[in-house]
Amino acid sequence: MFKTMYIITFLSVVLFNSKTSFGQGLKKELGICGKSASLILKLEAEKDPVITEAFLRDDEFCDNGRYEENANFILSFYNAQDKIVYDKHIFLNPLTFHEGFDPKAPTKFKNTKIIEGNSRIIKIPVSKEMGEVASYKIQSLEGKNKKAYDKKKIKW
Amino acid sequence: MKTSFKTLSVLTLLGLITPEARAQKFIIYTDESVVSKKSSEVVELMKKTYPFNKFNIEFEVVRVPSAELDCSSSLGIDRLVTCANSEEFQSRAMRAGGDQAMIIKDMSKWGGSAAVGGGVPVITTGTSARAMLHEYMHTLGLCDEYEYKAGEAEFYCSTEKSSPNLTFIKPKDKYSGDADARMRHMMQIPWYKDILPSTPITSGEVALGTGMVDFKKKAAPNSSDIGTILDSPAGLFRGRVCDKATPPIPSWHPGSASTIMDDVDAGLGAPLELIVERMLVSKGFKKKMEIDEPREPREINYPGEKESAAQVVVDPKPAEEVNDTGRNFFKSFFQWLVDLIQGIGRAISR
Repeated sequence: MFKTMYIITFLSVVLFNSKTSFGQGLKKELGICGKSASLILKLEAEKDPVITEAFLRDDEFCDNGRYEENANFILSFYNAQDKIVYDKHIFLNPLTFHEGFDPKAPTKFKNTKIIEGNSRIIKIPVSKEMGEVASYKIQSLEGKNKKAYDKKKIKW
Repeated sequence: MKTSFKTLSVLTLLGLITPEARAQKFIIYTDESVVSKKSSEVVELMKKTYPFNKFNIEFEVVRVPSAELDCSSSLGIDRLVTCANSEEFQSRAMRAGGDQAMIIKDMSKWGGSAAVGGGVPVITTGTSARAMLHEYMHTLGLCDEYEYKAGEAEFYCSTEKSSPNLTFIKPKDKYSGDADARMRHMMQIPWYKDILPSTPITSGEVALGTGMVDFKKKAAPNSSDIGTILDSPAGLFRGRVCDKATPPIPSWHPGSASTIMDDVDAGLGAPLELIVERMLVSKGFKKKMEIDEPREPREINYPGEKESAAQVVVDPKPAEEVNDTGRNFFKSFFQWLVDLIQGIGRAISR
């Protein structure tokens, strides 16, 4: 009986993972996969973190990196009905390192200048069930207060 | 037997919800001439360096006019170069479906002595390709391990914020033993789970630290398919990054040798390999399967106009639209199985 069960589940994996199967649709419903939305998150000294650009592509994106190691921000996304539809834990180095090499030892660094502020590309899946992703909220995971910033609109 | 089939069934069911992963796409923007091949060097280096070589990373090299990069010396230091349009190129990469933008500036007059570790790592053609690896590791959150000058130490070390390869711990005057030091500091050591029970974090009877980082000894670059497990294991080694702060702040690293975060000629060393691999996995990088065929980087000439289509100059292996659903399934299933076994192994070893 267990052998039969195993064969059935094994075959169901084949069906589920095939690109044309119901599995792909289900993954989208679960919010794991969807259209690929790329965003740019920007940090500037003494300013709130902000998404400066957002771009939606038709190619499918399955988010395997929803919870990044050492994440310092949680990004929560809301649809037009103000319902939270996705969140992602991301790491963005708050510092930019400008580094020069030592002319006497060209593999060693010298004349480093560190400045506050940085930006990076973030991807999220946008499934049909999420509806239109209209706004976002950022929460810092650092510091005692774990500051939550105001909700902002996304300009696609 | 029944139980094992039960377990297998459950595991397979779990596989149902395992999503497919895609290759990460790095786009290198460069104004280098065709003769100069720094971008190819960077691609090759990242493709062969462990643990990056374990992951599916797709590279695209886009040639752009120099004026568009708009790179120059900056911050009042002649040998530092920044590119005014790096944000614009990050935006272009985002629109092209890229995950990471990088810039290689054709510039040798300053001996290639510039590199920027920000959202868009920048190196010059006169710089070692290994500098790009160093800069990309900054974007992952790793910190420098070389000694900062007083001015930078003042700014950087004031936060005393730990990172995956750096922590600041002021040693207590006395510890009753290694267990005592572990109890007091385990929460302050981001790589604590990588320190084996057999590796002490104290030396002698009372001093904190497995030892000092030996900056004369460089971790060997690793271009094999397996981690440098025979290298010295992770511990708590006294560094020097904030020694010139006022007052000096004791800094600690996981490795005993100089790594690429100190000297670009060095490798990552066993502890950083583990840390970087964990980060890449958490960011959704897809691990390669043996049957994955390596794809050559795409090279594109970008004519300059913002919205005009890019002209593909070299694309030796364009993506083929073939129905390989079965192959993909087995690839993802076995990858999932491999990841699961590795996960269990890691959990047990902890």
